[in-house]
Amino acid sequence: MERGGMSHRLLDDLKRAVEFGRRRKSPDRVESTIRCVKDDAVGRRFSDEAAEAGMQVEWVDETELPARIGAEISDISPRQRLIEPALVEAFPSLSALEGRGETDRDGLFDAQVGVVFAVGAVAETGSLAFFSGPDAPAGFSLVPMTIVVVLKQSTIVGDWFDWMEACSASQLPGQVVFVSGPSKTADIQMKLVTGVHGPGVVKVFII
Amino acid sequence: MDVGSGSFQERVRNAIEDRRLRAAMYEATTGIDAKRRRAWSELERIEELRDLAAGIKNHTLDHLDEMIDQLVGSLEKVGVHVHFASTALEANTAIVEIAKTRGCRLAAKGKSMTSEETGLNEALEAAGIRVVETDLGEYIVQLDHDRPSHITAPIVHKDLAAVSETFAREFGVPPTDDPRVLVAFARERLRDVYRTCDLGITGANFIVAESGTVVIVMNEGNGRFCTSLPATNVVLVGIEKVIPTLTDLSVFLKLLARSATGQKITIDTMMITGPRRTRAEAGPEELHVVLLDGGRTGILAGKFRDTLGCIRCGACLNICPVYRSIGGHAYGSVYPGPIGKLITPLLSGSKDDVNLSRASSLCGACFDVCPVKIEIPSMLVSMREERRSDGLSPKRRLRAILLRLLMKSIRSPRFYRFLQRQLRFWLTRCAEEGWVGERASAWWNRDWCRARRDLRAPAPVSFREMWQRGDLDGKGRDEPPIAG
Repeated sequence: MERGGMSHRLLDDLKRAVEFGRRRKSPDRVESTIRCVKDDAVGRRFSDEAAEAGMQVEWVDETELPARIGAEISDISPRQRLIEPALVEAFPSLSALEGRGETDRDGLFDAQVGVVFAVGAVAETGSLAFFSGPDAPAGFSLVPMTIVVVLKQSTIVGDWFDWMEACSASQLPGQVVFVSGPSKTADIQMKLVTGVHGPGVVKVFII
Repeated sequence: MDVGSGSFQERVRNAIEDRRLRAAMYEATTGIDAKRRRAWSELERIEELRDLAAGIKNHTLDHLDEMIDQLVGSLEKVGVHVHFASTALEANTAIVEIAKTRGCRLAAKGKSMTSEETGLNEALEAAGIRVVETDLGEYIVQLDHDRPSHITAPIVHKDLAAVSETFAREFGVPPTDDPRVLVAFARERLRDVYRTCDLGITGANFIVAESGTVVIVMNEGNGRFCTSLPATNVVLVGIEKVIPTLTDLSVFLKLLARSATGQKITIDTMMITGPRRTRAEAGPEELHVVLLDGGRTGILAGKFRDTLGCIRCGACLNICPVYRSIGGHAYGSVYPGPIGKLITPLLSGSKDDVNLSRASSLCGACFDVCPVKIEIPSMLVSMREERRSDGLSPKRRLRAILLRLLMKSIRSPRFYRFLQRQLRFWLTRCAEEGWVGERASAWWNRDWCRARRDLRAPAPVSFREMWQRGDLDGKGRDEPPIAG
């Protein structure tokens, strides 16, 4: 690779350095060693783990979704609601929800709630997966203090091993974020406080 | 990389005499370690997982040239600008250049120990670029013009009152004992930075060779702001952070948070694979990865290669009795604790830093809690041996003689009894009112007595002697010890 002398120097230094030591072989990646979740009840496992991590989890029928989300965000003005276009595309019944599907940085920081679509989840740790994309602005699940997440049960995998195996087989988007609870810190004398920079309230509707 | 003033012994002494520090350290480290133990116990195959993680890291290090080559290809394939830095200066220069050529004025920075290592903040500030730390602990460190004292918990050395004092001093926030008030204030304050920043700087926990994916884990969400909003992103990462595949990432994700904070996973796990693909997407327009050597190839070429396998969880710090007693600043370096005692002198090349390897009881607890099984205790011994081969001071030579005497006494019961009688005789002579204190102590014992506690004078008669005389109740037979 052509980056002038500097790149070659680093790689040459590396090449010389590794020759000093052993060349230990690569270990076998035994699935049973890596995998923590073995059962099939991934939906229930996700729900339990997410609740333990401080998320509010509710199972709903798809027909109930507009009413349930509407109730959740009813006390927030439409101007301060961010509704992810990818969510509306997946669930056209939500097109009636009033809110902003796109905004600038100021609008992002004025928002009080983001209603977003998780592309999947990992049951092992109760982690929601969000892809970045033209219809899925990263700020919608990040900036508002409250996020309301819609998740299809069929997209929940059991273990991080499952997720990463699937990732290897396909091209990753620019940003994949796994959210495993409300943002928190214990930096100040180990006292736990939620709602630091990211959302302080995470409400999940599982369909 | 030096962060402390005075000698190591002076810093240790000051730390031990700081009761507030010691109370804060004890509360924090024992609490975090208890959570780690619980989290580990939930992993059915924790030992096999640790072995696998260690095997992946060691194999990667042994083939680091090939891994980096693959990594660079993957990064460039997804549109990342790759920069190489052999030294801290080169890394800082590259990042300053990136910032200046793009007209960046305000950088929002995520937590990065590697950037502490290179002194990046100072370099950016000198170039007129304002840097704001966004991790809450690092933010407070920055406000105090302080240094972090732990790899994952930067202000573990401060209590709530100290943080409240900082906010009162800097912002006029009324003193409070409610941490939520302070966090809410910081949240609003840092949002002003996120609104207007034009540069995001982070480190990386892992970087995947197979896909060119930068992996950042966090609890607060600040790293997401740093990497999602600004137009330009820079990731500064040591070359040792590379791992081969995304499947391997699942191994380390299972171990990292559990070992660091006792959580199953951190709140946010980001996988960044290149800049945004279209204007409408999230993420930066430009993503730069600066790969830092900074002495790592030197470590790779030696017998301490496996120290580069560290995943910076901080578990060894939390379990270490020395770290718990003296905190992070006493080490005088960016990386404290057991792993810091090894990599600090290896990265700095300073013979003075090698003395850090002596600040250990070699209890081995650090190895027991290391998720990648770095053999820290044996490496500390090895480092001490290397230091010893440079020659001993008169005090060290005397200590070596005393240790040889001790070894001889352990092998010979008669000699052991002789030494025991000698010790009892002379300590009893030095004692005052039953104690061998600083004033009364021989010069060889004075430092111990001053730092920790007085030595109780030995019993006039040993149990062995009582047994031999048939005087187990000790009545009327308290005779003074006989020398020889």
